[in-house]
Amino acid sequence: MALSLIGAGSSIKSITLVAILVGVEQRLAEQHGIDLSLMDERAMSQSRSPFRTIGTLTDYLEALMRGKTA
Amino acid sequence: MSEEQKRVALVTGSRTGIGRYLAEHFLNSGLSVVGCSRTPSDLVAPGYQHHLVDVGDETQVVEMSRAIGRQFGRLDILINNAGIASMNSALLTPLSSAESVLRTNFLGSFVVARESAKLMMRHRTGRIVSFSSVAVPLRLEGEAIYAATKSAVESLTRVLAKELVRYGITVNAIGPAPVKTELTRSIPADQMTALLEHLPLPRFTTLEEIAHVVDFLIHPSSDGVTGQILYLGGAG
Repeated sequence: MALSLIGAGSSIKSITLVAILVGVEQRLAEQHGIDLSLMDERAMSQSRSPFRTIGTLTDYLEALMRGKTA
Repeated sequence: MSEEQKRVALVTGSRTGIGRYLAEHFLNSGLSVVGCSRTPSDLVAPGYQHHLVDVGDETQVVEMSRAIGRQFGRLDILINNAGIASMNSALLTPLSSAESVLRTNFLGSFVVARESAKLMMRHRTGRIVSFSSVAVPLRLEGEAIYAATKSAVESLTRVLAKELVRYGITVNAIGPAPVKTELTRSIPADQMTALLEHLPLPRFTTLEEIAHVVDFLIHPSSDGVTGQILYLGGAG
């Protein structure tokens, strides 16, 4: 079962999600030298949030990183 | 204290006026200071570095924030000072002027606070001090747009204080009376006199008075002071 990050099935608070997303941004920058903004207009405009589950977040991250290196 | 342990302060609008004074004040207190403005600064001092940044430009702000993260790995204090004024009858204010003041005073304060808070979260401590104005409580004629942007800064301050308290970050604002800076120099003397007469303490706020309030708000013992708007000159 997919681990939900937001919505009714989520076991974490929205503020925890904020901390997770900020933490991911910082680790990408510090440990891999990759500067990404997860919470930009693209993410907010998607009809289905990329932050729904760990899986969709991972997919979104991979897409952003592919775009970064393309 | 080693370089790594020094508290790091970011001061926006540090080229002149209040920002310049506070940047030098922090340097004299032993802090590392990062300043920014749209045009180059002539402040050269050990522990000081300057970025050419328009706070209304999100890309520039994000890049500066990342540079601070890479160099220092931390940010302890943000002085959200950059601002512009526009004194004019509301009926004679072009939309472009209103947008410009809104972009710098409010949106700039928001973006810089957002990016700074991300850096402060790393160490679960931080101090954000923004600038409002006595123009808000005094409801000064001729300052509709300026006062509206500062009202927005006040609301932002109060809500951010709630959102960031769990990360050990305090968010407050200072509302000084007019200060003798480039910003107020263009205001005709008779208008300034009339403006000051609205205040219980009808005189300019000094830079020393502002630094005193800032020192209180950023003090390590001020963990419990957040979401406050502190006016000077008896306004409020």
